Amino acid sequence: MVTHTGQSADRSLDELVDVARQVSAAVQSVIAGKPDAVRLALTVLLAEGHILIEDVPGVGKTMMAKALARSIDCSVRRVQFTPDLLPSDITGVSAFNQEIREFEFKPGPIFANVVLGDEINRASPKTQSALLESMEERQVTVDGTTYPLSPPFMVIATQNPVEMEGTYPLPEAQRDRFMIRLSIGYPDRDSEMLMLDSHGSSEPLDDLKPVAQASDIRALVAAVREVHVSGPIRQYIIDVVTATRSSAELRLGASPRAALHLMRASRAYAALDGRDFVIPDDVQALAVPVLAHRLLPSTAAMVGRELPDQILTTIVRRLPLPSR
Amino acid sequence: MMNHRLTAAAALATVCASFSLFAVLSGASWLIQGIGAIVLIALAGTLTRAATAPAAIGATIAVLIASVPLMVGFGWAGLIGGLALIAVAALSATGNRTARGFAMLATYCSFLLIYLNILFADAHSYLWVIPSRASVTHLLRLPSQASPEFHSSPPVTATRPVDLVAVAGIGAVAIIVDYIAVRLRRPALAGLPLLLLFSVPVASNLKGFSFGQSISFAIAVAGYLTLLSTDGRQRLRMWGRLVTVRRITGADDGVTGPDTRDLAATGRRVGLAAICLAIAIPIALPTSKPHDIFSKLGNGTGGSGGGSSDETSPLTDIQQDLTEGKPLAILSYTTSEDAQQARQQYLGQWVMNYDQASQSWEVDYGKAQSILPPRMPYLVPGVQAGTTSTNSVTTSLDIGLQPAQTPVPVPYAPTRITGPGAKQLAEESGTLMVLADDQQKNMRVTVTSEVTDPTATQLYDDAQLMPPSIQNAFGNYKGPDASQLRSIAYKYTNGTTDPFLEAIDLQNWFRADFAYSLKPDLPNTSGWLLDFLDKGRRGYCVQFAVAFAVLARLVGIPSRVVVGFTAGTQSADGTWQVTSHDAHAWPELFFPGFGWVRFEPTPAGSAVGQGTAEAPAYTTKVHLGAVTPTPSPSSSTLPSTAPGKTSTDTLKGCHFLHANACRNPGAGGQSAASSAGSDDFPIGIPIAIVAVLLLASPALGRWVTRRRRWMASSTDSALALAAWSELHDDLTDYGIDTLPSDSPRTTVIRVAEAAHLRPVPRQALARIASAVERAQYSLATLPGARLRTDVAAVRKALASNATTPQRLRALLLPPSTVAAVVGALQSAGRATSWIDSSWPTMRHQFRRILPHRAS
Repeated sequence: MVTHTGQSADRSLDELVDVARQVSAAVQSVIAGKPDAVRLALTVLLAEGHILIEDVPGVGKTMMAKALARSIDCSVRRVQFTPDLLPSDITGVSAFNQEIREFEFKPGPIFANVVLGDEINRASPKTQSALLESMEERQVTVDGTTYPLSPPFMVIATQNPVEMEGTYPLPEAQRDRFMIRLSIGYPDRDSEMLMLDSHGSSEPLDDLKPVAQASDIRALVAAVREVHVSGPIRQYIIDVVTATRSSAELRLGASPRAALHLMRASRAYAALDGRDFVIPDDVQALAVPVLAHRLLPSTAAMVGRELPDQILTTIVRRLPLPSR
Repeated sequence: MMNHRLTAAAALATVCASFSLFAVLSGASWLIQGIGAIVLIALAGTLTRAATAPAAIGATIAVLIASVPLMVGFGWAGLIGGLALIAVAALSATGNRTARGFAMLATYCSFLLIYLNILFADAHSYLWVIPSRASVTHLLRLPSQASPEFHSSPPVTATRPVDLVAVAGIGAVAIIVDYIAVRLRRPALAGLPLLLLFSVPVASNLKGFSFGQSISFAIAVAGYLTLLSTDGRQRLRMWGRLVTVRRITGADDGVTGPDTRDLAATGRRVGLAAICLAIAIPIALPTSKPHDIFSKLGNGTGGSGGGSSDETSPLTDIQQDLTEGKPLAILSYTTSEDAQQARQQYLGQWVMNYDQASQSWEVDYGKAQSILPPRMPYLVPGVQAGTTSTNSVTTSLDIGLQPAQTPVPVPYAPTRITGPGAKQLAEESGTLMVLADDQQKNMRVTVTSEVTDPTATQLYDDAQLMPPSIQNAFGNYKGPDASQLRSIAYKYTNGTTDPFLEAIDLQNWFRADFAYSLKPDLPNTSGWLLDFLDKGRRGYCVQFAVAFAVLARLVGIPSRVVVGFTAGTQSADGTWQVTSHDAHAWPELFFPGFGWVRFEPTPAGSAVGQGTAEAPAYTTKVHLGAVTPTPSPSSSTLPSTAPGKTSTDTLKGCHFLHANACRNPGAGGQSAASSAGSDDFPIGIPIAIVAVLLLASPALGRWVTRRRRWMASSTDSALALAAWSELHDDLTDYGIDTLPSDSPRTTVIRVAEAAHLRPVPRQALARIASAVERAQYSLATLPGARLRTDVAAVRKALASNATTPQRLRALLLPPSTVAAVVGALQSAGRATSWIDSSWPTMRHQFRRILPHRAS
């Protein structure tokens, strides 16, 4: 018998699992065969982070973002990043209203619950940074006036890993602001067959009905914050992050912000599992998605064609668990 | 192949090893000369390793000088032989391997010969340097003159012959070491000849391993390690490091170099383990007696025979003499007494008195500063010559080798000493003696002594006053445990006031209740005496004599301990032969009118005690003048045997009337048997017990760990953690590996797959994992009451799926326990890692202190 600390936390957790299952089912009805990616996306949503989806074109990056946004009945905006995109195209502009003879703020696409930044690496660094600033601070400042963004606020940015002309790769500092980078990957044979069937006749995204409200998500986010992270787990997170900094195969290790993101994500990941406490498995499962995009391999590792994902996997496998 | 550094290291190692000879040789002349030999051998070695031409020239000249005696002293044959040697040495210039090998050997030997010749036979040499036939003959003859010294107990006085033997030995070892270490480049092997040098003192009948020897051994080891280290450095310089090691950056002194920390740590660990083993194994062995390095030096017993002693004392020499495998002839004598009486006539050599200041028994002659030619016949204090109780006995002693400053063993009480050897007579403490300044060979002495033959009655009736000088000098004991010893003395002389009866009581007690053993197993502390009397009750003459003398003083009888020899064994021609096995110590008590009267507390007879010892007749037989012994103690004239006393009194009557019977074949036999039994204690049994314990210790350790783990856990959380540790130990025992990064859930999956667990144990395993997960990471815990059963279920499942060898190993040699021991050892090794962190700092500091070298 479990000795529970509070009934309310229990109820919210049960609700959360229930809502999460519904959202997950809804998204998966559009994106078949990618439960892990969907779960990670939900994790980020509940942990108040942002996702960077890095994958080849056409695997459903935008589709997933849309499905997620639609299933929780919140506002979703899509920004197609191009080289000529300006910061004001994202944040909005103050335009002179002839009728009231005043400047009036016209909010940009950033004022939404879910913002889909497609092909973010095609925009100029200036525009990128405008987006990233609002991601971190959850507010927009235009002409000296600050406009807060309403929660939940999540940016789902996509970028193509294949180097193409006219792209500006995200600098490390900007990549660090994304909680998770995930790859959707090609679907397996059955899933792809299913996709052909379902998407062939109609657009399933159109049939998607919201299963949760934005207010529900806000409550769930609050519940996730209550998830217990024990001392050994915090120690373990620090150990993992420190190991990336001291690893000979990495030129740049994970930042303190990465540690914070890892802990928050672990909380949400545990909550999605119906647990009110984080276990090492959560941290281990999230280490690569949360940390890998922030790391830079050393020259030797690059020569050896070792990706940060692999180096991180090795680190996690070798790092002993702290015991109480 | 010039290698000066290694050559110097080899020479240094030999010098260091030579220090060990201090234990057997006195003085330092041999060492200085030995160092000279070592340096010369190093030079010779360097010469042999020079280029072919210089080496050949050097070898030819050395051989030319060294073969002079051969060429000039042995006619044509010698001349041809010498020339042949020179020719072969010169032939080495051609590079011929055989000729070079010979030249090398000849160079070493010639250098050593020339050196010895200069040192010991320069007078017989040409120009004090070049050996001649006479000088070589002299060199060959000298060692035979040293043989008497080598027969005496170490340390040997370093006379010239002794020096020659020592220097030649050191030189020979130096040759071998130089050859092996430098020429063959096998410095590790050079340890063998060095050990040879060190084995000399070990093989020289040294009893214990004294502090000085420990130091000399440490010096020798340091020298050897220096040699090894030098070789290691040389190899590094030549070939670079053989082991691939990580490079460290940012060391304290800014120097980037190979990371030798792991290597250094290995060295330290090996060293630590070696030291631990070296200390632990001798302690663990039941038969050995490790030197108590922590005991206070110069403790209360000093040389009085507690256990072992650092100082050489007549008392400590006895044990060595008695344990020597082959008896060494000391002297022979003829006496005017009949065999029966002669057998009881011991030959006293050293008189020991208790020194209150040092709290030990010291040689009384040591204080004999003034050696006066005494008047003869000498009046022995307390002995009334010519009375009815003394017999004039003439003893002619023939002593093979009489060491310097050592009294000649003579029967008590000598009144006249004559003969060719009796040139330096001395008197001290009322004893006449021969005490020569120099060593005497084949010494002949004739001693006339007044042998007291007191009867029991005489001793008992003796009512003369004790001379105050004797009482003051020999009557006090203020040593350790005096009060307890006094109570023991009173206990075993209870109800007696007469000194003689008290002494008899003590003697009988010792002979009845104590066992004879040359390995008394007594503590090397000042409290050994109490231990001997109270608990051990095993010892040899030294312990008996000292104990008897102390107890006698405590009941008021002046006493002393005499070290010398028993009467020895009579050979067919009537002469008495005294060997080292007759070495003995005995107590003497002072009785006015009789002087010092010998008692014999040591069990006698080859079966139960000292082979040739014999209790004096007046202590074993009834010599009550004309009184015939009667069976009734109460009817005797002895007042102390009042009726109705305790058994001690009955025994007392027995002492006098049935003394021989009362030597107590029963008790004595028993104690003797126990003594013999304990000497031949089957060592196999403790070894077997230790072996069984060692074999069972891993299983026992596992059991104890498990039990303690569960016992110490009371809360749910603690039970969960205990279950988890227990599960991991079980997994280790059954050879199922888990990673340190495995979470409880991962462990469940991994173990279930690896051990093919069925659903029931698998659920048990999952329950354990959930419990530990909650205990470690959650605020809430799961009840832990069932966990012990769950762990047992998983263990059972693991065992059922394991092979028989795995099961046996898990039962008898659980790897988890072994791993714990290894872990403990590793952490012990890591405890020394502070050296790593501080060494660069220390080096940096040291360099700052040193003046900078001019660039």
